[in-house]
Amino acid sequence: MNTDQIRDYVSRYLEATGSQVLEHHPAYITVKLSPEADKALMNRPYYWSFVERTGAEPETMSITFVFDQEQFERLQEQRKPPARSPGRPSPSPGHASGGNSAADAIGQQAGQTSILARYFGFSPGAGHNRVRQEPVTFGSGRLNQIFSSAKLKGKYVHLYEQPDNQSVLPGQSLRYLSYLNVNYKIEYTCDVKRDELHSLAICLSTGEIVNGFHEAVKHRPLSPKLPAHTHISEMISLQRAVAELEQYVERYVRSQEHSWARQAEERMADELHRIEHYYQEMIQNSKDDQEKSTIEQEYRARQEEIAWQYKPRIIVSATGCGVFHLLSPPGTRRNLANRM
Amino acid sequence: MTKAVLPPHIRNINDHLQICFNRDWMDELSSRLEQNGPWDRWAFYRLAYEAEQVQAIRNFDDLQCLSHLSQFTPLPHQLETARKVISEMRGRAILADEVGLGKTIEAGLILKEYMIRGLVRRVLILVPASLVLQWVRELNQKFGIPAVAQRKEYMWQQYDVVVASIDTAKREPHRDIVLNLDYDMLIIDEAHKLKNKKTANYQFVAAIRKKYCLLLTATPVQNDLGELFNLITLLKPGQLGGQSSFNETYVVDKRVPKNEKLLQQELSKVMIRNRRADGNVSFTKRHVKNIPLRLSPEEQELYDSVTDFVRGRYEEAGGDLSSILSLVTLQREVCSSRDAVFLTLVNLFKKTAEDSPLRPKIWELVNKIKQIKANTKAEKTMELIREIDDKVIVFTEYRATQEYLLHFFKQHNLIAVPYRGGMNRGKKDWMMDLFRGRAQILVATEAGGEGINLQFCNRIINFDLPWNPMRVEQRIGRIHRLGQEHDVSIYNLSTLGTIEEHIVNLLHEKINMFELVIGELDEILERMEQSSSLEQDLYKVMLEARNEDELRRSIARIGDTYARTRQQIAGDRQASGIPAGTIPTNGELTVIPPAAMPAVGQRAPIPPSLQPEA
Repeated sequence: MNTDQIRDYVSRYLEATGSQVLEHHPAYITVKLSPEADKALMNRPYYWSFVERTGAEPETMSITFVFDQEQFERLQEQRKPPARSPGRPSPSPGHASGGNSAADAIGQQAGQTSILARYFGFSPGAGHNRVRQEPVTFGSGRLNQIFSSAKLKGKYVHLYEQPDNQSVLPGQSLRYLSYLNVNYKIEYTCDVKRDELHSLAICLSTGEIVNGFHEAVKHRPLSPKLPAHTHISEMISLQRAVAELEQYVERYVRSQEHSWARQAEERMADELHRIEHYYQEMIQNSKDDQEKSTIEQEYRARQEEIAWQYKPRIIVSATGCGVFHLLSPPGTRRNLANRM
Repeated sequence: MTKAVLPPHIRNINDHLQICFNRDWMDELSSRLEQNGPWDRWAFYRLAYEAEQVQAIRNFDDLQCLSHLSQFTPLPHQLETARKVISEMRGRAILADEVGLGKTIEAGLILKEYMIRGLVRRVLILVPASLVLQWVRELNQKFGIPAVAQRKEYMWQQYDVVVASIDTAKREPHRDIVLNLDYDMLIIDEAHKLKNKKTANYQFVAAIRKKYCLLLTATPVQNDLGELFNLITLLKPGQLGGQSSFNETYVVDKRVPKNEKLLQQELSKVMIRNRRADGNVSFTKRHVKNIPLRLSPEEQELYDSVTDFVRGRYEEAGGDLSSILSLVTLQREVCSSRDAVFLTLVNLFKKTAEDSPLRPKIWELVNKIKQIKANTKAEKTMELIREIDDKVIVFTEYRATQEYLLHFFKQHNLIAVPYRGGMNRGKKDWMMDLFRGRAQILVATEAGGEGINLQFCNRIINFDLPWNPMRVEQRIGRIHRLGQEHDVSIYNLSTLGTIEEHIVNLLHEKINMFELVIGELDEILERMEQSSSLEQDLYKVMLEARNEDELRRSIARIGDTYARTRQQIAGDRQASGIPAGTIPTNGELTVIPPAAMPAVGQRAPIPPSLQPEA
């Protein structure tokens, strides 16, 4: 993910949570979080339970997400008011607390030197002027948290494609095609691992399966609202649909080449052989039954560890799923919508 | 609509391979359909899909962790090590780099990689108690791995990545909990301590259930093939055969191996040792300058009085060091600043009984402090800083001295910020930022155990010196580490005619520690196994010496021990052609010869900043 993609992603996440963007710049974004985003990102459950119990007006946090640190710092540098001469005597002579120079810096930012700032190195009042800044780069904790939050908030949907206002004549009813979409993640796992993602959908009236569903519909206007005069026909049960999709996945997996699994089996055999040698010798040389059983127990534990690590397996799970009611099959142009 | 029965969720693809469908989502979807909601929003559904796309691991081999690291860039040999451990050693390895090459980084890279791939979730990291917090910080800050230090019993299960000391973990009730968990990865730092099969530590570690395992040590085996065998057995039992076949195949005498080629080959399958000499890393130089200065008559007067006072108490205590340890501090403080010694004296005065004959004596000392008008060292430091005209860190042992210096610098229009152990993380970072930006001077009391990044500065002034060489090394290590692009200058202030003069001499002339290669001190201290006791030795010598000459001789003796150990290490190295810490050999064997070593860093270009100087 490059900087532009990250900025785009974070902006859309913030927009989806209803946060209010205060400043938008290619290098950073300053935002006042919505309660939803604050709860998801700021890790302060006590505050929110306090707000909910007392009904107090919530004060959400403002934050600057920095995408391009270098450019951001250059901008900050340019905006700084001319530095005060360092030689100016301290306003509180005789007391050289360790925090003084730092406190001055903050005092400058806040436009005043508060007493608290002078004595504690910070002043609570300055907090409003000092918006927290955070780098958001790929791999950063914050971006991972946003990813996790999005995954948590976007698992199950039920959506209708919205008709074009001009193209629907009064009195006409809309005929929808319903699809069960499942975004499958296939994990090929042994002591190493790789993933595949497949966005599949099955048409609930014809049973036709579409691969690449998400890409095909992501730009359509979809909404949870059921438009008026709607006609929906679903023939296939959820169970049936799932069975069909799973079979599709299974067929696909069978058609793949599985030398990785064979190699993992070989590695496993190799490892088992290695410890067999070691433990058989120890079992033979054991002095009594008790020692023997201790060694055998350890041997079994090691065998289990090896199977746990190497045994090849394929795990298929859904990262998200939903029912989509579309006006035209995915992969067709929208203006060719079915109309009755 | 009829309810079809689904086929089993686990099915065979072939004789060895099964496919397993997770169907949790189905029940959830169907209940939401029945109740008509609640439904998630389309915008989030799309964002979730994109997040999955970005985070999916497309192939078995390529290292993913690199694109996830924003805090630092690993060195070529560290990446190569991580790659090799994962793809060739199958996630079980001994990481045996020499000190200073970043074993922790390598372990972090491997752990991160497995975590990104979803192969590792539950992790146990066992390290010496003194390193627990350092590990936690390093993993959090450098790798964004949410590690926690184990403090309470419930934490073993509550958290996925737990760092603990082995001594805690092996005791009940912890032991039972740990042995009942399945760890996706086990990491053990200072693993050479697990060389004896009969110890409780060894048996405990052997009993932990684990998938991947990393053992970290700078000194894989000192001098015993049996110990090597035990260490490898923890990792991969049978890698060197059974105990008796190992003895038959490889051992002539416990210190003398046979079939060296084969042994090397087998070892290289489980162990990676990068060395400084491989040339994949080089450090910039250290320049040391001692700055002798003479105390003003008033200061000298105070020093002498305090020395007499302390020595008198020692004799009264009958030579019992522990009872007057706090008094010795006085003598060190007096070399630092009057503020430092003043605070300690006042506290001492308060603690002393009202009718004690000591009280007037202490008061007399306090009065002498009042006579002192200027701090010779501080004046000299300021002069030095003006001369340097660059960013500089001033280290002192004492908080009172730190406060005094901040005040002093401020009066003289120098911009300085403080840094000390008691500050919370946020404040520390803030001070760092200020130092990087506006301030010229950082006045620090703490050097150790902090993942702070000060490589933009390359000058240190030791306003006073710790008596423990490790702590001196930590100070220098703040700026002289991988990533420092310039030579490093170290200035030691040394007040003539005081104990400080001797300390500076000992550390500089005898131990020559300011010019040691990074990591060398660890080896020397490891070999001497008395890293902490130098401080005690010095106290004793200082208190017992009747005159200047005796003191000089005693300190010289201590220095000689260090010098000898250092020579020994160098000698071993030459004799075997390998660095200290591997098996001393019959002159032929190098346990891990360059050929068997991974050819790390040789193909990858070394950044110009790290290249050795001509």
